[in-house]
Amino acid sequence: MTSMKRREFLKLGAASLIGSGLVNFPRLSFAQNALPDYKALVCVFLHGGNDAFNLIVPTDSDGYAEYSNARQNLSVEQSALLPISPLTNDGHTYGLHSAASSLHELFNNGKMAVMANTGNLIQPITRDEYRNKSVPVPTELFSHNNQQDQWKTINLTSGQNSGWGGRVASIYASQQTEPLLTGLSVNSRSLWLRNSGFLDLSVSADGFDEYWFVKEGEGYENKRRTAYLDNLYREYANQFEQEIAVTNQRTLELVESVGSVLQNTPPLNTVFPEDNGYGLSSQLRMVANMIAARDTLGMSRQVFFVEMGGFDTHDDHNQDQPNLFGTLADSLKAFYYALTEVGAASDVTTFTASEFGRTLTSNGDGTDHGWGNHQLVIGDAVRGGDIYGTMPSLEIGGVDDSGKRGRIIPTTSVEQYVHSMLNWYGLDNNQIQTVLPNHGAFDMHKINLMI
Amino acid sequence: MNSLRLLLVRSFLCLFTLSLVACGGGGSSAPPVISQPPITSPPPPSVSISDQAASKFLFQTSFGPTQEDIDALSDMGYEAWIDQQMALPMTDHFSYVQALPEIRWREHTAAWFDRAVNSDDQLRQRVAFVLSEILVVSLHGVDFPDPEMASISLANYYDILLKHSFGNFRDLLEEVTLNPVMGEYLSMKGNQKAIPEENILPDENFAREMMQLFTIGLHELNPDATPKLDSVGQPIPTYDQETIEEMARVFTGWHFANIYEIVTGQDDRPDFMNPMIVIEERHDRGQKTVLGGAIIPAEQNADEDMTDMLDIVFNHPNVAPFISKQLIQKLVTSNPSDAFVQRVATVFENNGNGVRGDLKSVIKALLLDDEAITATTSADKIYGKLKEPLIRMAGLWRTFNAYSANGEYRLTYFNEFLGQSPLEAHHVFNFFSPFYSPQGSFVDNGWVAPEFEIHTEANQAKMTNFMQYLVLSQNHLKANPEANEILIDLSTEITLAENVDTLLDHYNLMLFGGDMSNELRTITKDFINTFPIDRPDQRAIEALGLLVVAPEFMVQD
Repeated sequence: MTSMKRREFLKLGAASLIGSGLVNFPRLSFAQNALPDYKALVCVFLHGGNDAFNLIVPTDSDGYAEYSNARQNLSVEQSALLPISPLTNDGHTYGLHSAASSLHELFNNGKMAVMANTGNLIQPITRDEYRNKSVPVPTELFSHNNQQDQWKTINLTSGQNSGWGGRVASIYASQQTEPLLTGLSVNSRSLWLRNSGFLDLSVSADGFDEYWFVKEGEGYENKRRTAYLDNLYREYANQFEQEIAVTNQRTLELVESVGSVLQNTPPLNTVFPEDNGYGLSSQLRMVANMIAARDTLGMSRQVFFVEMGGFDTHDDHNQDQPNLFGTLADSLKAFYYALTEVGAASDVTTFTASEFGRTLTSNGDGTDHGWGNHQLVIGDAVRGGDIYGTMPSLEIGGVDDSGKRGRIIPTTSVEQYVHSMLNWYGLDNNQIQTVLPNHGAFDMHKINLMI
Repeated sequence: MNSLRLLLVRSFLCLFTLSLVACGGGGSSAPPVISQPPITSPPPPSVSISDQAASKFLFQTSFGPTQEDIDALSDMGYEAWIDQQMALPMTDHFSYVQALPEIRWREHTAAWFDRAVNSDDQLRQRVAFVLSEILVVSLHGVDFPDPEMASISLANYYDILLKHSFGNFRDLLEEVTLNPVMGEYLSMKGNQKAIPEENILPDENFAREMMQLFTIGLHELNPDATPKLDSVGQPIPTYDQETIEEMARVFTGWHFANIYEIVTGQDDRPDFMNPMIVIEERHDRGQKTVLGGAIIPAEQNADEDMTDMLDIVFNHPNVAPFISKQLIQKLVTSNPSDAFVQRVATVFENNGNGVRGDLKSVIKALLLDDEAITATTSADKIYGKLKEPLIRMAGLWRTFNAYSANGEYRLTYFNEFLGQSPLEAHHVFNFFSPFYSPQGSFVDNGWVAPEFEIHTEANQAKMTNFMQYLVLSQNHLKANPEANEILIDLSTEITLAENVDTLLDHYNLMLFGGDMSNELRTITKDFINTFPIDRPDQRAIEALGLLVVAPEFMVQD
């Protein structure tokens, strides 16, 4: 294959976007209208419904008593909690689960904030309004996939085809040297990154595997490569064939352009922990590698999506929770230090999400699907060392319980949670309103997590 | 096993006063008889069909065509072949695992590959695979005590799916409900009645996912699986949270069949094979108001409650369209016309003899439907589907007689390349969602393409590499293979390879049901002709290596 022909294959994204009927972002030869700085948002999605009510726990005697009365055999030992000192005092003291010592360190160093009791909402709602059904609530509450979709889309009126990460990335894609790399999910595709005219790209946590048998070379491989590429770069009338051909075009182009850039980026010194079967650590390492190569790739704005599963603890809650929290905490800490290493700790904000919290009550040895939940925000641009929003009452059947199982009603919406992060990222008010179409239902200045 | 220690200290658990209710798990209630006359269309006559038509049909009904299958099917015609397939004895997976010299982790996949490649009851094996992606359990998410228990009990679970593939859906649902792997996976095992003073309430997991994923889905459906809409155009939920909480009470009391032996220390491995049993003291005997407002009366035992509950769910009007559409999507086409779904759902409702849930009739109806046979659909849809990676791999092995020197089909790492392995989805929502639609023309037109959810930029290089490796490296000409290496046999193809057109005609039939495009044929022909005429081995192997990664092979239409 001649080098002329090869350059055609390197038009990263262009052919793919045309092929998939998406807007054609030209690949810029130099970043002509590139932004002067770099910023990234990293969404860490805790799949299954994380039980953050056991991650951040009241430690004062009244608060702990209420907590342990509710949670009974799922309670974390009071003496094992790692004490924190939030900047603002709500009358209670708090501690973190002992497995999360890495988060304890980040919080104490002012690098992490806690967003209290957030979740999917259509508008603010009280317990009585919920019980009277006098105020609309999200559809299919307590269903995993629907609540995940709603978290990722917060687009409650116009179907499920646009994620808010994708809406953010679309605003910046045309200013990037590699438009397709503006939004990336690691391992699986994410609805969070979808938007019309923008692709929900996914890359492997292992990096960019070469196409072994058809890579450029001598002999058979070149003949194979020519025939293989001739099959990929055809127009197919059958839409399934066209779609899989385009997916492979895109992958091959990514492998052969971005893959070589990453190979030439110095390896990180930061040691990432074992995955322990959850995959989060290696996904975050991949994101750190992409961020390390940001200048070479000509990127000024990116959004990343990673996920960790295993949080659907209907069973074996007390056995699994230390592993879950430990893995999560150690992975987030390693990621933070890797960003410090590549000089991006103040340019990257990492935040957690999860479809719902869990019931405060037990089903014997586990929990069921809840609603409100605490989240974590990490980075040098975060006003860390504090708890934002309102910590809920943990009383069963109390003021924040939607019923009798300790399914806590959120007091902060996802929109309110992410608003200040979008502001920091550089979106103006009009753009934020586009990204968060339901902004009008909430006080959007309630939460300001960012410096 | 903390929950078991808990059991020990529960004061109400007195070993001498227990009333044990063991349940065999067979369908304990006859399917209801429907009085209205069935709507049936006359079956198509059994006539011989072309080899190409036979090959295409085998992509829907087996793991991949062989010349033998094509010959038999083309002689008999579709219907007679289906009847013959349905009459074949079931090739189980459990006995394969049991016969292995040593049972390690994930041997259920070795059984799966052996049956996909070699078994005669291909239609049953293919349907069971579909069922394994609806009634999902997974190696991930079950805390097995050791590799042997994991492998035998997953194979045993698969056998339940095989057993009922041509049976009644109601029986299938019950046996799956009581299976301890499912019990552990969706945590009905150990589910207990409320203990208010300890804030312990019944586990909602099984009740919720059984309805959402196994039977009725989230919204009321029309008979063609389109959603019913309320007065303001919104879908109507099939159940609410209160219903889930009530149904969680229904499924209380169940535990491992050997729970008493475990509690008393006579046994230390939970029984993941036999149906769960009841600890009646842990069952909630109160009245429950369940799906659709139906009442399950007080003072029934756990088994009676469970039977009533499954009857109520099974008789919900959603089950027929919900299940029928997924069967069509996974066997034939991702976007069946509404009329096609309704025709099949009608057979699910009533097989013509007043029986509901007769999977044999349902499968037959969907495979013989005009839409499937003629590969055409309504103007608003497109016909066909992306093949699953696992089926492409198994098909390659079946069509080209994969073998290993030691006769075993153990390959431990393939899922890292394919992103898929039998009974190993990452959650109960399966590897991919039936509602998934890739961006671009699919979303724009409202079409779904579920399998695309696991075909991404993250794994396409891996998948391509692996399929090419299976052909280019793992064939019968490999020098000094290990005894456990699985190799395809291309000796027949090599004898054809001197004449490029003969070779391509053969591949066209075996891989494309005769539908290889002229472009693909030309590209492949030019490629083959770069290899010397006196190297038929290279010509046959290299051509296949190219074809198995061609978009046309990746799609079934």
